[in-house]
Amino acid sequence: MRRKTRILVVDDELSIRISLGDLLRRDGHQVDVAESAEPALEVLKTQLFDLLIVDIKMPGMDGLEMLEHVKNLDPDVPVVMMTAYGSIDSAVKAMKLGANDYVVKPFDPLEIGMLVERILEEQTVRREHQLLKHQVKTCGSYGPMIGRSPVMLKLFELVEDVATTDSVVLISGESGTGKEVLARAIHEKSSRSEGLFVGVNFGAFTESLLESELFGYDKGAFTGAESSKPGLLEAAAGGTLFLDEIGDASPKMQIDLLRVLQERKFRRVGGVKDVEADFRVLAATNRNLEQAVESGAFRQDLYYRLNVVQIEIPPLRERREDIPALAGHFLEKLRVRLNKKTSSISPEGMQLLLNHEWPGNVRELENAIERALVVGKQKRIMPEDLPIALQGPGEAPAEESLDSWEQSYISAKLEYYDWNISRTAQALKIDRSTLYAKIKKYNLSRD
Amino acid sequence: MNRIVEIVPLEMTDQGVLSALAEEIPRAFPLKAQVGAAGNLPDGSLDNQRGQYHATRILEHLAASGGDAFRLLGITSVDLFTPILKYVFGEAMLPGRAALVSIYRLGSQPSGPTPGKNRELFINRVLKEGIHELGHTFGLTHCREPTCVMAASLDANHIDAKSTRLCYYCGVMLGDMLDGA
Repeated sequence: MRRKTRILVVDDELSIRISLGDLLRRDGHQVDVAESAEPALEVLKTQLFDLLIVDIKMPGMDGLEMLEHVKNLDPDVPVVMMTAYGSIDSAVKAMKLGANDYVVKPFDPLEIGMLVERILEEQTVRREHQLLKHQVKTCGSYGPMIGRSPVMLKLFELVEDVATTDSVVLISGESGTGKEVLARAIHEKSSRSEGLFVGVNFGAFTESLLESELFGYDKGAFTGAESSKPGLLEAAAGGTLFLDEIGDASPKMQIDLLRVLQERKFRRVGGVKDVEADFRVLAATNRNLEQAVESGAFRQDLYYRLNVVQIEIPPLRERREDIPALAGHFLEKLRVRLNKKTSSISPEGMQLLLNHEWPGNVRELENAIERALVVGKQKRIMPEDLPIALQGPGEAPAEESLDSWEQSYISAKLEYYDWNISRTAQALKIDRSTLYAKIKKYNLSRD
Repeated sequence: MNRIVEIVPLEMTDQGVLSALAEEIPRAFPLKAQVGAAGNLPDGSLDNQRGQYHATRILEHLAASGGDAFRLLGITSVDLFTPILKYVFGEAMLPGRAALVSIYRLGSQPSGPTPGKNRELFINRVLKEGIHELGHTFGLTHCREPTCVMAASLDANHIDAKSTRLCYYCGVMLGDMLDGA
């Protein structure tokens, strides 16, 4: 959230401290001043600043020596050195010691304005990037899946337990929640990881094509079968067979699969020899299979065979606390692949990500980040870089999370508008008295 | 207190500029404006080395001057500086009673004396800078909306890009500040 930036000005000349302080305050910054390096370093031991502007030539400890101390105290704080005309050598030395830039007194208004803006922007991007990395680093994970929500942490525990067994696992969840990603991760952690992970999508093939793809065929099995071909079940020997969108399997295919799961063997189309089914089965569906069983669209006996361990991946809208870490994870992954310098997400952009309903779940989030990286021109993802679908008025999530969502949303808006009640109320489209009531209700306070 | 902005000419004789300011200020703020008696630049405000006038000293002098005006807007033809900047278009107390604008660099040329040509552009720049500096006296800081009159004026192009009006949000903030004043 946009907050007041804190700048420390260190200069022995009172008139410079006053005029530079005024200049920066007019830009909305919070400015502290120190008349020499020693008190400035004392302040830096206990307080954080977004930028230091330090005169090189000062009595006692000069700006260069102070710079060395600053870099020991806080290597990340940006420092701009001020120098008098004709002292460029010192400025060059300062740059070598880690100063971000230098500026010659008196400043050109355009030069100093753009310099401060640039350095603060870089600092903001760096901090947002660190925060995103921290979010990713500190959240739970299973293979490439990450999350910090209690429901996902519980899911990771369950998956850890079942991965090393040979049990059939039925993974359910809406489209885009990462069912195949989870299946692959289970395979990688299983004792069958040396074998292949073979996926079959039941929604993608016609029945006859699927049958020959899955079971393979012997020469002469049908017109055009001029030679024998092993199917995917054989390819999965020693590994994992992933039955994706199993709810779309035809009645005949359901019987064929039931036989394979019961007897642990199968025959190629047109074949006479049994082949051992030496694979682990993982299945996934975005349908409610229990309802399908009740309506007769899915065989109950097959359902019981598949539903040994069920893992349900919740939709993203029910675990919004995972969004920052997921967004950070995709940003890191995609910026490398797309060779982009974008390394953070602006608070306004993150707010849009948090507000969206994500009907396409994690896959939609990944696509949104990729789109933003492709069209974005800045070092951070801005609201306008995100898909239009995200830019409409955000909808609050339902149920018990509504209050916590509202609390964090109002808190963020207050921070953004620097606790200006009128401006925040306008932005929230509520009146001031309602905003005061919300502040009281959630016990919000300014730091 | 009378909510009047008094425009104080300081080494400034262009009556067209003064009356344009008196007309425009009430359109930007819910305040009346009038041109007051000419004032003087304080002794010691000229820096002989720089050949420019110290804006902060003039501002302090202006703020201490008498009268019961709600706000004072000094307008001068001399070139202004502050110790940290090579030049300034204006200066104001943040917040406070007085603001100051120089027409010296607002001509059609990047710097130098006031223009003869393109008077409309020149007057517009003076109006924007006058309103901008007055905005600071109400505690308004620079706005990120480039068309808002409170957007930072780092050079003449920035001034030309903005309007003479406060953006919606700066208007709301001004309302808060005037309510509390």
